[in-house]
Amino acid sequence: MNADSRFAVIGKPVVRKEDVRLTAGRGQYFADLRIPDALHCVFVRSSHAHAEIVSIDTAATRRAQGVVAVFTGEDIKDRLAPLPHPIVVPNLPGKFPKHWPLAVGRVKFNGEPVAVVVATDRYLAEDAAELVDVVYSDLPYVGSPEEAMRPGAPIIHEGWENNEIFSMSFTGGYTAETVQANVDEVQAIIDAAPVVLCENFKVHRTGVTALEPRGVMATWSEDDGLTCWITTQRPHIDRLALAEVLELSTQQVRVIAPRDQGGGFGTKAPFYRESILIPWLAKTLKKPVRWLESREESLLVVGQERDQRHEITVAASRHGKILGLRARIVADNGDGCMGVYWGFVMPVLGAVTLPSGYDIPKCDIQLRCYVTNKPSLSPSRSFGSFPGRFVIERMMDILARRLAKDPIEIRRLNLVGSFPYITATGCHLDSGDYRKALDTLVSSVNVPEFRALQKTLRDQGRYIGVGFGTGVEISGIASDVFVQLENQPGYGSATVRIDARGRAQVLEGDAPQGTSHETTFAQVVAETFGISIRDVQVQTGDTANTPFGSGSLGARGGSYTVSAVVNACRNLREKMARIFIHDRKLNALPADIEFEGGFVFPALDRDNKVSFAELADRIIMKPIALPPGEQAGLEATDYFEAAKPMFYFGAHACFVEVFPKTGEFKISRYVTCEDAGTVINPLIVEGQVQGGVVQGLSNAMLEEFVYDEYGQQLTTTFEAYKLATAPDVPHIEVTHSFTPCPHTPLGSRGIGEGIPGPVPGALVNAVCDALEPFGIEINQLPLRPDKIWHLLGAHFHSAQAKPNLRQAKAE
Amino acid sequence: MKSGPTSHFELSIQMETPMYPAPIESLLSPTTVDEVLRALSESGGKETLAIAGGMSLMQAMKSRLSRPDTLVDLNNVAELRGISWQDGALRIGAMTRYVDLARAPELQDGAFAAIADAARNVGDRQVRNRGTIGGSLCWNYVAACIPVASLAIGPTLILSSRDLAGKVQTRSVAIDEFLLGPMQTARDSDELLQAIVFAKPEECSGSAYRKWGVSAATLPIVGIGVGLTVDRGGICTSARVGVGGLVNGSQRLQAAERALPGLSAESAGAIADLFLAAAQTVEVQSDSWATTDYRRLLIQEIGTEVTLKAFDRATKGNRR
Amino acid sequence: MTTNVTFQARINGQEVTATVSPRTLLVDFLRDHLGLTGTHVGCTFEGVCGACTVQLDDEAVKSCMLLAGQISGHQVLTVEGLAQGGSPHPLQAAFQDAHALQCGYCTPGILMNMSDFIGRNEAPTDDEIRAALVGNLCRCTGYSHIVEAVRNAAHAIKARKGAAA
Repeated sequence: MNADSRFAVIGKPVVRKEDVRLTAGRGQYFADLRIPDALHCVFVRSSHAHAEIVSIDTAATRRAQGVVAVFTGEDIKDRLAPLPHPIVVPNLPGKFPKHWPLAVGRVKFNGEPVAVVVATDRYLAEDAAELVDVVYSDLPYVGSPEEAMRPGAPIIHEGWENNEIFSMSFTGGYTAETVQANVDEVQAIIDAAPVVLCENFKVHRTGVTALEPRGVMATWSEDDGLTCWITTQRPHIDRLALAEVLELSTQQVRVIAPRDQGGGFGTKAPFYRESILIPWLAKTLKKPVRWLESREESLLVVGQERDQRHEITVAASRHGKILGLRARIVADNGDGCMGVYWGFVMPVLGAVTLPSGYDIPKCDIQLRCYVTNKPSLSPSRSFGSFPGRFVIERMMDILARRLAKDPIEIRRLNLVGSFPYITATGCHLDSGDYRKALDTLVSSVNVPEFRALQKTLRDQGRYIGVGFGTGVEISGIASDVFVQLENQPGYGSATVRIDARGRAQVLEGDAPQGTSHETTFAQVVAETFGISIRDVQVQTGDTANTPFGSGSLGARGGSYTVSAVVNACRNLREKMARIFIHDRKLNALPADIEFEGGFVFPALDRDNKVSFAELADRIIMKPIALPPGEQAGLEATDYFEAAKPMFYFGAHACFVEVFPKTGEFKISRYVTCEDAGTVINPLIVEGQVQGGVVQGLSNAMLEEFVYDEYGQQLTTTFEAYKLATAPDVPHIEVTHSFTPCPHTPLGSRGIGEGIPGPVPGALVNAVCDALEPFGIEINQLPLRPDKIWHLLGAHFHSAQAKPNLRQAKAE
Repeated sequence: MKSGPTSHFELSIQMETPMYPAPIESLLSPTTVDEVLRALSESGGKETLAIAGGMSLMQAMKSRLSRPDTLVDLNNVAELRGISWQDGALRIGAMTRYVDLARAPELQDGAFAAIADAARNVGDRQVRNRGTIGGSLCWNYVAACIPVASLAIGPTLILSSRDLAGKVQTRSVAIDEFLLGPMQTARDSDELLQAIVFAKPEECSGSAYRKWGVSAATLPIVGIGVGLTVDRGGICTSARVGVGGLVNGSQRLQAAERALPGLSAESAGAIADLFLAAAQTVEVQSDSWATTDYRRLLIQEIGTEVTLKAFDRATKGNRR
Repeated sequence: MTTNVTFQARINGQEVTATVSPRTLLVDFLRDHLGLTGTHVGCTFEGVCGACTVQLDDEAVKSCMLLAGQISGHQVLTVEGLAQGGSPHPLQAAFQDAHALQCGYCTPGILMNMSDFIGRNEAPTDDEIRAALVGNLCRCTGYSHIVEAVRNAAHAIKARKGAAA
């Protein structure tokens, strides 16, 4: 990737600042923070999936060595307001199950916290927690949306008429009448269409758990109130929510996200039970309290997403242009007791963006989310959209096969071609060139050569295939959508401060977790002021000294927040230029002044210069004879959002070989093309793509949360819940297709959120392409050798012959 | 409470998510076998366990499924490590680590190569720097590699204990009598497995092992070990077959063993058929990773592959 | 009646004497007792993630799967001890240059595993590097840059040896 010639430092593969300390083992993660005399918490969690709590005996626990306190749901329910609370409730017409941080009356999933033990030492806390004796009376386990929706099914949340937590139609209409009109129109399109495809899809329960588990630590002082350290992507939201739920003034709550976090990917965005309880314990016990999650707890409770079923009908022209799409989506919501997201906000975004980057004139998409005896769905990268991208990309290939057309051509025909474009569901695709990205990808992988090789190898009884997947993903969500979706503002914000020695500081309210803010923001600041990246320091995640931000999510960092940094810098640069012009009595405008190499000078008189540091000192320390109306000081805060949500686009190609004898497959090559607009740091963008694709592959092939017939979760260790290791995945080749984003000062889009989206489609399409002689279509995830083998076996049994080389079946 | 599909303990606990071992009263670090035996025999009613590599026992301790009062660390007992030839037999100290087995010249080819095959791919390289052949055999996890590779060769295990009078008792147990079922062996709680002895092999013997898993870092779904002897013409005269990962853990696959003699490496088709037939004779489970039928297919595929490798190693003996 | 374990060991080149309860995990001893927080904990009891990897007698092991008392008389190297006389280890430098980390949580464990690995295999292939990384989970990078960094570091070390010869 050639460095962007418009910039000195932006676009350069700058080595990350944070890596010096992270490779030296000097990271400051949650578990590294110590408060002397902090008490340690351990949770007792339900071993039952659905049960009445008959009794909880904590007598022995209270007597155990080191124990300071024990609380159950009964102990806290009159002392702590339950959720829902408006601050963490979206403006969507769903149900919001009442819940406390500890189960009250009933447990609703294997892993729900039932009691908390507070002791002087983690080991002792665990010893004591073993002594808690809970007696349960089992209730029937509701383990799937199908069971949850059955008439007469046990109702999981008291007082509800049924287990449906959310239901909505996405057709572009917003009243019952307009929705019905759209539904009827889609039916008419289907009735009249020359080509109609009907398929069912199922994507399993999986997500993106981070390597660092969660943690919450809190202290309470009479004077300053609560100080909380939380592994969170959203310290400011947590602060507001805590203040309201604990009935404190916001001045009494400070939330700090640790400087370093070991990944989030959405799983550290919700307002969790533990985020409420630990601060409450600190306030109640008037002692510092600390909780460190175990991996088993994490796998029991956090990071479960996807888990959607789609019934799809696509109507198309004879040429393969899609005329209408009907979808019935059902999601396994889990218990839904999760602040901010309630399980269903993710499927909502998935439903709204189901058309992805395709021009589909009319849609009738209906989403229903059902509560089950599992933990709530929690956000995971490719927020709610991983199943939908799989579905739409599979439909493209199925359509191509039906019409005996090239899957690339079908995509090109259907991709949105002119912007801005409003999808049939009301999504605003702001800018980009999707066809160019697809073409760039295709030209880098030499498909004709591959097809020739494919034919040759088929003659030898070997089966290789190529599959494509594309996807749009949110890249900064503007407030007009975000306020509705999450009851929070969508802007990115930053404060930039120059000190009297010419060093810059950026203060950001959102909290990165490996998302490289420290370096990308430094690049942007260094570029604007012509100073060294070394002279820029970035501080994040402390609500006491950073501007409000809704959190590090939805690729806000590289889209909105960095834009806020740019604007604040430009603001200050202009001010410095004005004062410089005034001081030197120049006949010039700020735009005529250069900031380069640590100096400030007119473009046409380079020797008439002052050092950046000296100029800063003059403005801060010696504010005499400033221009009229100008203030001293160099600090600016900017709040940035585009008027409409921004989307970026990616296209992926996956090459596989499949071994029909065992159903095993191997990915031989994987190539992406991303359009992230102006790239600030190509190393970082490439890293995001490689990591996101591997997460997508790991989700699609290996990871799965499995429950048995009693609702016991069977995948609570990394032995059972398998993450991809290095030999399981290929090197990911990253290419770029650049279109500037017209809505941000640098032309940059955020990247990262949606990279896993195109992956399952590309992978499964490749396998189906390889197995085309057998006419196999795979519409379920995860993709496993035994499943492929069984499909082939069914084929063999019906064919009653060894595989032979047949043409693709034409309908 | 289950800790995942790998657990075989039925004990239901309220705790749910333990991270640290239950209290241990003492950690002993003997340096001689005699000290070990004394500690095991003088447990005084305390649950006393010896820890070898700890790669399995630490999991059990940290999840509190295992709660020893006294832990006897075997890692400093030099006598328990090492590989040596003794009168043509190969003696492997019980504390010999996977990493050392994987690169032992005595195990790279020929009759005992299945042990190196198994050791080379257990877990990951950090695990291989600690885990031991003795620990694996005594733990006898349902899908473990070393027990299966051992069944394919048929070694004898040397166990020692100290009686009340302080006298050391030693006995030899054939591998078939030692491995009794998942997580169960013939070792008494006060016994120490000292060594594994592989008898001098017949000429033209070879063994091999391979496991199958959906991903690289995986507990095996199925593992197969085959050891066989061939005549001058490359025809199998005797065979041992071990399979692991099925419901009943590491076990012999007698149906395959009976069908192999008389076949040669040229009969790949017949070998595949006999493994598929043999797969019908054992209890095979179904789970989210692999169905019963697929596991049977794997037994056929892996069994064939491993058998051909064993043939190759055995016939090299012909060419010497 | 618990008998605490007193032991002596060499940690990052320094002699350390300590007394701990028998069940104290090595990783907790390093982090909590010695303040060496560079070694991380990423899983519960299964010992799969590898974030806790250190070197025991120059071999990579998972410190969450050892008891502190077991290191008596041995030597332990953690990521804090990897740098050589104030300069980063070639692996640390290579990781920075190749952007082989994002959140950094898995990184110390990978550095300790790989420094052992390339010490024994001075010109590894990419496949060998990937196989050697089986015991280290990374959620952020997708492993590609890590493999590149390890390969580059191995070359750099080899070249340095060649130059010194």
